[in-house]
Amino acid sequence: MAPPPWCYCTNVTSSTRTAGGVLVLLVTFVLWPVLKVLWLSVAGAAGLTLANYEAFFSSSRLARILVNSLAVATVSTALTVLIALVLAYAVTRTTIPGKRFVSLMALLPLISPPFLVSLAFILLFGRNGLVTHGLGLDWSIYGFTGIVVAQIFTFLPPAYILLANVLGNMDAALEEAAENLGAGPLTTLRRVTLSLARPGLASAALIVFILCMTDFGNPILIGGRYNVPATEIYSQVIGMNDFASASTMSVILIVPCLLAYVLNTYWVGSRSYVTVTAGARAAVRPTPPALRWPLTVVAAGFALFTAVIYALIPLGSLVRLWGSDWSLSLKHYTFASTAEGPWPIWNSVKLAVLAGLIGTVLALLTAYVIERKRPPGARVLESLGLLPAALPGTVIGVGYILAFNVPPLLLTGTVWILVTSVVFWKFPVAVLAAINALKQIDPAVEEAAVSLGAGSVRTFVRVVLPLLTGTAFSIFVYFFINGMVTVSAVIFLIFPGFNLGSVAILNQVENGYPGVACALGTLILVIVIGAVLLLRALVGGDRVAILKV
Amino acid sequence: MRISLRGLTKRFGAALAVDGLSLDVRPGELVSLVGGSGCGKTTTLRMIAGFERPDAGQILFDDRVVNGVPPRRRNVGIVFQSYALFPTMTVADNIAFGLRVAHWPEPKLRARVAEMVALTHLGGLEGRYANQLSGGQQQRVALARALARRPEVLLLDEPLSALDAKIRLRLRGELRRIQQDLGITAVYVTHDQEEALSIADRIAVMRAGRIEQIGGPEEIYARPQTEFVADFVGISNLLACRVVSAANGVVDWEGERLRVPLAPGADGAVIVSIRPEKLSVGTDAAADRNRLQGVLEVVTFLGPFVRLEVTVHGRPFWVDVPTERATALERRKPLTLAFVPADCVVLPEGAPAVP
Ligand SMILES: Nc1ncnc2c1ncn2[C@@H]1O[C@H](COP(=O)(O)OP(=O)(O)OP(=O)(O)O)[C@@H](O)[C@H]1O
Ligand SMILES: [Mg+2]
Repeated sequence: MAPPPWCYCTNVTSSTRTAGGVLVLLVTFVLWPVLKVLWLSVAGAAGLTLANYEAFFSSSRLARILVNSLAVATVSTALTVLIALVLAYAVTRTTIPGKRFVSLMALLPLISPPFLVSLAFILLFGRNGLVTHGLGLDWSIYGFTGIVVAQIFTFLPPAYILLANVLGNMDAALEEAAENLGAGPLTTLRRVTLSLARPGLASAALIVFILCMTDFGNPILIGGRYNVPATEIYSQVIGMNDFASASTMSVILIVPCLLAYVLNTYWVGSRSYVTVTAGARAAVRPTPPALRWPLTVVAAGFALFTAVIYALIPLGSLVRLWGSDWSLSLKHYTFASTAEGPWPIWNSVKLAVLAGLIGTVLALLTAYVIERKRPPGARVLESLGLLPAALPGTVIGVGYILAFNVPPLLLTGTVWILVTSVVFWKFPVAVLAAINALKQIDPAVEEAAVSLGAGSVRTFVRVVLPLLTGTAFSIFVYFFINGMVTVSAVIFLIFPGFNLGSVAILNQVENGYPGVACALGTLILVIVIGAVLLLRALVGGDRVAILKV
Repeated sequence: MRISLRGLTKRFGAALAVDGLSLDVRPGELVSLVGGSGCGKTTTLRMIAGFERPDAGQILFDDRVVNGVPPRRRNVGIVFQSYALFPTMTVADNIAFGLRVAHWPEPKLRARVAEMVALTHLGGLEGRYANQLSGGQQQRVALARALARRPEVLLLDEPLSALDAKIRLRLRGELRRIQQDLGITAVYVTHDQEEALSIADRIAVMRAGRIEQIGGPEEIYARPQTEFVADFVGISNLLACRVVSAANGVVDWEGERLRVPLAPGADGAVIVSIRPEKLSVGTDAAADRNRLQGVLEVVTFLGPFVRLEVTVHGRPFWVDVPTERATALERRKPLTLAFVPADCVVLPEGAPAVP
């Protein structure tokens, strides 16, 4: 549909200027760092060279790291999607008891640092673990198993949300029609329900695959000697200051992620079935006991285990010495093992608030420009804004160092490099949420305002923005949470005197103070949950949603 | 096959959806369930299909009680309001679904699908997916799929409600033809009383989980037994009257004396129902008419006739007159309405109709 004429005649300058500004920001903070990484991987003393790549593929150690991560990501993805499917099916298409609890537990990882699960598993199955040590086992979870198990619990939410949406929106009459035509429960499940969920399953798998490939926190905590590219990039930069190798590895890591991203966006995206039609029923009939009880046991078992995992973090922070002295104490909260004390947490809050404010404004503005102003090249803006969804945090970290440690934009050593990295790395989800919210608003509302003589800025501020407050708060919460919990990009960008809570947790585990790590983790959880609840209380609960990945 | 419902009751929590409903559908008959939203039509249909278990009462197919038989063993074809076509399958695969599940041999299956495609005029669309079909085509696929297994009962839940008025007219004729050709027993749910009148052998008018009246279309239209039926089926002018003389058949309405066919011994308050087309405008001399003086308010053109809204004693009357008779009428002018006593239906005063 052609934009109405007033787009052109009255607001040419202001809307092009806004679009131009957004473009400059995205090029600077998304494209430029990636290009820097790409450039460094092929730059030689005498022009372009593929020497770095030759070195990579001729080193059996490095090649194995790549294979490692592919193996881990494949197994983790398969298991995560399978569990998400069972839980989503149980919650949306059956009448098991305790659905709300199951749903809540499946979504809990959304608001926690991504590697708290690893920490909990170390408390259970590590060398001094409750189970391993308690039973005197000569086995610990470090390595492949640990990464896979931790990733399942960490990356369940996006898969669960996606599949619950697909299955929950399915017309109940479809299953009834199959049954009416003589199909048994298994045939119905296979030929109707799962068949419909296939695009959703593919999408969930691709999204989770990217998350597992790029995961940094879990492998570094619980991977042991099982290296993956994300952790290898980290040790090359921090340990050896070898940016060329790190860049090469980054580019190699980007390839499968970008592939998965493109597949998901352009191939799977065009295949989803819209099944809700007029007269469709969502109500589910009572599930037969033969299915109801096994599903209840599985779903409730999963939910309870998740609850235990998250309970272990505060518990671990209160136990004097995990594995040997089980008496309770508050000594970990004195942070005596660290010179910084609890300050990294407050730095995290500062980062989270700044990222929340700046990210929300930028995301809304970008979405408005893309969705409503539709300047020439809107597709470019959109692609740039969504590109980070395919980028590993480690690559963002390396790219930001390379791009912003030299003038004219000397940001290293300031809080702004952390803020921009969080904002632009987490941009895609926020922009998509804002675009979707804008799509719900009838453009006629804006046209009415303009026809009554309001200018472009006034229309946005007075008419559009009030309709977007719920979305704005949700986006703020999303950036805030990520500012509090993210680790993989920011670990490259912190500077002396400005550590972050999430990174401090890693430091404490590495230094052998799991109790202090648990104390930090508990504080982060409390702050995040507290902030979400506070905001919900202030602006009305249902208006603040937790955005999905 | 005969369907008998005996005292069927269904509760959802505290709400009573179907309340002691009894109904017999004769073999080969099409019975239509009509009634306002939420009166329990769908619930009744879903109990016949086996999707809901009645809390009390029995469902019989011929002489067999089927209360405990699961849906997939009832051999009942059902057309859902949303059609519920499988979006991942083509038209042919949708139609063949029930046959595949029943392990029909492939050649026989293909012949049957071709037969259904021909029956429902879907030729050439076999390879399409549901989202590549128009609403009317989707509806016919749903019908073909429901009939493919040769069910003995066909259930339809507002099968045409998602379609345009024109297509609705054509498809309901087609549905009726197929149902009669196959001689299949059918229950047809609709909230559109006109659709029910035109398609059904008998109509069951439902209200609050019960059947208020059941009968052929003419009977339901011409001789409603309750105020609700008179109001729900077609359009009626309903007058709350008081009996003056049962012997002479005289009632009082707003101070006017009207002659109506009263049962001997009638007493107290009654409702007199008169259809718009039974009212005439003008002062012809026939002596046996009731006459009322009113003022013309609104004239609505409806093609072959016009509908007048005439106010009598502050109450609107609907009057249908042939279009050519309406040219002489002027708004805001007084006129005389006349009607023959025999055209009135006298009903006991009941609870007010629920919308
Ligand atoms: N699964 C259910 N759970 C709870 N209440 C229900 C359920 N299904 C139906 N009801 C209730 O039972 C009553 C009858 O519903 P039913 O769907 O049979 O009405 P209907 O006559 O088909 O109405 P409509 O014309 O709107 O389709 C309604 O009050 C409805 O709210
Ligand atoms: Mg209904």
